[in-house]
Amino acid sequence: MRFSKGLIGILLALLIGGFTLTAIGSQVAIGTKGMVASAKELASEAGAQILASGGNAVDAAVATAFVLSVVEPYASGLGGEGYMVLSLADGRDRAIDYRSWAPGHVTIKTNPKPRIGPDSTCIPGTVAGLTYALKEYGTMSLAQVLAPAIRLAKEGFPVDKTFVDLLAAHEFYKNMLENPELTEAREIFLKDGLIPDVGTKMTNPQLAHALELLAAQGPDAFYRGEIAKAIVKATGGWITSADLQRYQAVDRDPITSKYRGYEIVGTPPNVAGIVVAEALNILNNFDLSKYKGWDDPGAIHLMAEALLLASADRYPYVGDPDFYALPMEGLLSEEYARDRAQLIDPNKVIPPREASAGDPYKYMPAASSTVPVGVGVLECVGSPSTTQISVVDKDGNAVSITQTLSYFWGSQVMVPGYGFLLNNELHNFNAYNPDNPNDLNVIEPYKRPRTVLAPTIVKDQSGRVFLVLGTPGAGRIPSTVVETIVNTIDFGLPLEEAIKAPKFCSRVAYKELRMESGYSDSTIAALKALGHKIKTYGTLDLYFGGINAVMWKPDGTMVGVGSFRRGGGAAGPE
Amino acid sequence: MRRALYLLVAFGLGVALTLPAFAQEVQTTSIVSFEQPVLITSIGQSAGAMMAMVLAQKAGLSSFVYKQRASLKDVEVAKTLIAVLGASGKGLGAAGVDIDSEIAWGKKLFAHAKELKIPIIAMQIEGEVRRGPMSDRIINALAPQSDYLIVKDSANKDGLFTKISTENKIPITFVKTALDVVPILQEIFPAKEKGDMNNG
Repeated sequence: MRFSKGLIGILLALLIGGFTLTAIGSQVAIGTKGMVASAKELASEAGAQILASGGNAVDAAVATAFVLSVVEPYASGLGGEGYMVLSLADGRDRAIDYRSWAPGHVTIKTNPKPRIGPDSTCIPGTVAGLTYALKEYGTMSLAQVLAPAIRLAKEGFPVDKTFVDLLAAHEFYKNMLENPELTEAREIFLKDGLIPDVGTKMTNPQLAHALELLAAQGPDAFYRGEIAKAIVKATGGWITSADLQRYQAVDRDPITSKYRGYEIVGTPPNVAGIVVAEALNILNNFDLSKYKGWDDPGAIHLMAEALLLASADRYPYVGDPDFYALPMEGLLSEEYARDRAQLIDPNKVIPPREASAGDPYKYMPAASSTVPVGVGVLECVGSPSTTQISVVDKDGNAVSITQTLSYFWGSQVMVPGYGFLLNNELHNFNAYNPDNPNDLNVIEPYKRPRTVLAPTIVKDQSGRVFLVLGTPGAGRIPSTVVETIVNTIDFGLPLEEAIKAPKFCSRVAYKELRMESGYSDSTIAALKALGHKIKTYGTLDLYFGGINAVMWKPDGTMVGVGSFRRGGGAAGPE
Repeated sequence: MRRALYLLVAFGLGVALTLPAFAQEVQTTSIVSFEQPVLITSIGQSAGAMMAMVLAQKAGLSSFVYKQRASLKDVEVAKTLIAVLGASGKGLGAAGVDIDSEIAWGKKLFAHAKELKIPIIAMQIEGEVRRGPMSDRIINALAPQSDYLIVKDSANKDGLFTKISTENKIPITFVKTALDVVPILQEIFPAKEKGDMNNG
């Protein structure tokens, strides 16, 4: 049999196209009855199933989060924390703060810098936050939304490349082999003491047991019952029974701002919603649509400078809102943003270390002179861990969650018998420094450490949800969120292209502009000519996070995109 | 002769060199034999060397030492060097080295072993997850200098290891899973030999 070259070419194209479509299909989904995007397709599918069963966006988001605790145990889980932003179809916007708290016994003299071990942990908030959201804003029972996670923990799931990479690339493997307290982790995550192959089925019966306890007893099982006792024991009393009993999630007003007429609904302190809002407010003073797009050095320069100035304000003005009165109205005011924008020279870079904070108190309705000053900028090591869940349901309810253990594998402290790891959030505090008496991020009992989570919801001019997004990526989170919003609103990119486009990060903690590979040589050269020092990373590099997002188009189409940088997935009911 | 590369040639070197590039079956043909004590180390600072240590334990090797980053002195007390090739950005960062200096170090280590006539087994047992640009630089620089290759077949989807084996006449054994290395270690390290190194 003979085939012409043309026919062979067509067959090859179809074959390659088929594979490509299969790959995209797992990461990009389109529907009209709701959509879930997360770091794992299995988790998104569980959320979509909840939507198909009549659940709302909150039900689906909570179910997805619990499934991620099973299939992505290195990035979030029962021992972690997070922040949830809600935009409800009835017009209410809420922000549920389930950030972790420092244990009650710490003092400002406590060393907050251990990276692993019991003394790196904070009181976990995930269970309180998710169960609170479900109770207040969901429609299903806890047992219903926990069912998919329990099933996967019992029956198993195939580990993917990201899972294997993180086991293989991390000191956690060494610790599991050498530390007798990680015997249970070794039994769950390793196979015969070896890192499992991609596709290996993994079960976590201990975590299934913990989730079943939650289903039967509610959050009390975690904060007052047998799991609480196990946490106290696992941390050697670093976290106490009293700490766990005291913990509660907080339902807050989100921060809101306007960008090109769209409403940005984000997280209040002690995370980075304010950085996203301020950077976009500054960019409101420039017409980005006149630039070619994400590869235009002029646009990159303006965005980098806006992000730099916004990040400079984070250190002195963002702290735990339950400990400090913060100048949010000033930071969010258009006048403040306009004055900050005037610091940007389109033809010259602001040296990152020279970008200074502004004085938002001048822009407060009732001016205050109590400006915190003298806070040093610390270089966060910045693990690209954490995870993002974005959901929109058929009625227009939307949920954006960013959850974390801080580093991948958190504190590397496993809670024996319950199959989950505790966070290592404590290192996000600053050590006490008498030269910085106004440091808002100094460690104190029951305080939340300052971090950079930024789950975000964008609503269009009519108040309808347009975009639900967020990302892991530590210090890169605000920049990746801002760039994705600009890519969609200013440059009109489809969501998958907006996410896939290379990302950069500009912040005062970095000496240079950090850029993913993929920008053109001429763009890099032009940025260098403006004075930017460039540090280049890989293509679609996990370092720049892993946006999982849902766009609800005006025609009713919902597009879900799972991260291209971390093998995410999207799913919606048929 | 200190170098203990005994070609048993059950099927001959030619058989080893014609092993299929995409082997699905574990190749356990007895080809070579090595002596203990064994030094297991990493070139690229991935977790592969630690996995090799676990495999050596499972194989019941009587005398081996695992050093994630070995010294030249460590080589001098060994009779076989197992170098697990695979780059980890985190591992290199933790060791405070970049890829160029790691490759340079690997070359120095290999040269020292060869000078002492200590045979080198190069392993790639992490499969395709350890076949990025950095890992490939290490593989291309060092695998051709080895005396025997043990490779997880998913690391050879593009035939790189087959090519290295063929061009340099190096016996190669493919395994489907890392655990399949255990019987190979048992076969190439005869149980009778006892050494004086302790696992550390």
